[in-house]
Amino acid sequence: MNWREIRFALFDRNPGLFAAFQLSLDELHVIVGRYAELKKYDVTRHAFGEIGSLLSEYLIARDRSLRIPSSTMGVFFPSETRFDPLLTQQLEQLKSHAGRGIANSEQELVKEVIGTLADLSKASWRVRSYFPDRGSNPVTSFVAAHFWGAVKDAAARRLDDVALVGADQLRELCTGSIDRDLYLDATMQAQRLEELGMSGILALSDVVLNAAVRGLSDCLLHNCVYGRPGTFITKHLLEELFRLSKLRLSSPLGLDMNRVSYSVGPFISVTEHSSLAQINIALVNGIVKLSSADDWERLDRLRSSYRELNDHLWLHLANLGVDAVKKNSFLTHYLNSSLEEIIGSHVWLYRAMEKLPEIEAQDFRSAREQDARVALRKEVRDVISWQTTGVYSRIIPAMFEHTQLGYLDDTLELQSLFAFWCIDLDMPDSALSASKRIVDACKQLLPIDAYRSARQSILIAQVGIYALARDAGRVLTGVLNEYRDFRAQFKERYPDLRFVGDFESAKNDLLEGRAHLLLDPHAQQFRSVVAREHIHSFFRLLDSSAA
Amino acid sequence: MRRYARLRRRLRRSVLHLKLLVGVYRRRLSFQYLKRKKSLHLLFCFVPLILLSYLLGSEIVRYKSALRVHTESLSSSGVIPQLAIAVGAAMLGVIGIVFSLSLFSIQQVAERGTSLTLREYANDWVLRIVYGSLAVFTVFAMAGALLKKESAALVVLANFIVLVATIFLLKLYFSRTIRFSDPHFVVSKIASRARGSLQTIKRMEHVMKQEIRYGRRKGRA
Repeated sequence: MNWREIRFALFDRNPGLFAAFQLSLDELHVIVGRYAELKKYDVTRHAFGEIGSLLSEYLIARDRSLRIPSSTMGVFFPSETRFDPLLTQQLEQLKSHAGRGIANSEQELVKEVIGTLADLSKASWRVRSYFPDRGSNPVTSFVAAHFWGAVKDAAARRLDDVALVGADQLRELCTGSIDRDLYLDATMQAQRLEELGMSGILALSDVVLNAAVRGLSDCLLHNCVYGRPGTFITKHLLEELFRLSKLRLSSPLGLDMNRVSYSVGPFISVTEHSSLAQINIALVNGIVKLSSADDWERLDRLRSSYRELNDHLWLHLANLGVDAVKKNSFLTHYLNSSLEEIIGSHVWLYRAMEKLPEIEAQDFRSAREQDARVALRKEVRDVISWQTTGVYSRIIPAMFEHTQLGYLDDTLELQSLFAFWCIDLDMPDSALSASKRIVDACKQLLPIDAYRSARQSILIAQVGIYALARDAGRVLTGVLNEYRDFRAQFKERYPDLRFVGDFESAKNDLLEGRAHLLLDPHAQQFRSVVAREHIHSFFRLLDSSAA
Repeated sequence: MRRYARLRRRLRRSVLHLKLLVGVYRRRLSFQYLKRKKSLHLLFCFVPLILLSYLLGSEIVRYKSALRVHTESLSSSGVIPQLAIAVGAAMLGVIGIVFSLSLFSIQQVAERGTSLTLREYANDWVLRIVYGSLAVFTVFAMAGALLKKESAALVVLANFIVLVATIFLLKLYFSRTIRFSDPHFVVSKIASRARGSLQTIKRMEHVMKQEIRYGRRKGRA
């Protein structure tokens, strides 16, 4: 007989060892049941508090001795290993209280039960099962499964208060698991949050969805800042958030201006503290700050988080954008502003990294750090390139395909701004790609709305003038040709058409400028670089090449 | 007129300052009182009691011989045995009435809440001590009637102590019974009992870990 068998034999053959403790707990459950009927929730709260505290103490007392198989054992080994009987029975009792509360729609009671289960899950972080597992704590998983069961049932019965508390607790469990390197548990809690969000969508409850999305976004922020690299938690969280946003778009409720912020706002609205844009900004700030502080270990972690966050992000944004365009949703506007902030932060990071002094290769660590910095600069350029051109290469064609042109003007203006930034960073291919997208959009607009097409083409001219001011010859030539061809095409089609904002008045419009445009980042960027002579020179070049 | 206005304003400000000061100190005092309420109550009870005991003791010492003669004469005439029997009988009555009334009220509480209240009440160690003490007092008081006339002073003293102690015990009993009508108290009692049981489990775990460690060490050796 080995030591495990001795231990288990002792506890199995002497159930009386736990009888007195279990009896007292059962009495507390009786009190809960009785006072729940009388709706005296202060007493039930006290009793649940005592049950939670006693079970926590029990778990701590049985550290490394609790018989709770891990998920790996559950999959690969025979299922004859039983679970700890006392804990199982107590969790079942709590589940039955929750079940009764849910059946009677007693939200207060169910909230107390899930609060107790959540506290127990948190206490179980300090306890190890007899069967340890890597990346997961079997005790926490076991208790959290019961907790999730109650929350899920309550959400299915549309007990929104319970679902909200459940979302908060799931978020805390997820962030706590991230802190303790329990990446399997963290992923599990994230999946549960997604499921909760889905039940919110099915129940047409934006409040629950908002709480779930906020929970996932907070977890994403927490993992980006404190998480261990290479655990794929970021990837999972991002996929879950995008999936939820897509599902919400398909909901019959629609996604208008107000509903975006009340549903998926915490993820997509730039004003939210844990939105995608703010997480990127936080990471970028952290990388730059730590690069100056020479805290290389933490810096390495942040760099990994940055890479993981931006890996294929453009594709997710593009797919969501296409869906938003199809539905003509206000989400397109939020996506545009998020993209603007995200790419702005990348540009800022690239410029800051360029300004950093080179590290002298004194030892392996310093040489490695210098190499990592150079590699990051290259990666940032790639990210900027994908995000400036990749996203709109799908969204703008989708606008024409589904004839949803409501957000086209803003989108083209943003493309023009991205082209400016690409010129600044000496990325001519990306800048040309962005201007080509504007030209294509104007050409497609031509048969539909000639006035709008001509008015939007001023953005192409602006890219050309900006390139001239920055002395970006390749971009200037490309843009000049595109603009000239398009102008010729327009004049050929509408030879006698004259209106405000046509090709003839483009030069004057640019020279005069407009006061209200000064508030717009695109106009600000343009005016900060371009002088009047650049505008004159561009149009002179245009006329001379046309002649 | 302007000068008076200034004076009036200054006076008003001074009055306001004074009010503020008084308010602050009153608040501080009441806070201190609430903080030390229990100790103050104990102080107010114990100081007069000690003074009274001192006065009584000094009077007894002063008139010791006269008192003895007086109590012996009272014992001979049968007054003191009658007093002892009366005190014993009264104690029995008190036990009967107090316990039956409190049991009735606890039953009412248990019916409205849970039957565990009644069980906890019956198992409460404070109430058991009170019941035991009252029973012992009754026996002592009854036994006092059988003593010789030389011990009459002792019988009188014992009976008075029994009477005073009974009053205090009834106060304790009353407040304890009232606490049982609160379900939170019952919950706390059950939880504290569970914590006691948990200690046994902790001890078992500790012993088991020690045993396993010893076994492993032995195996390695």
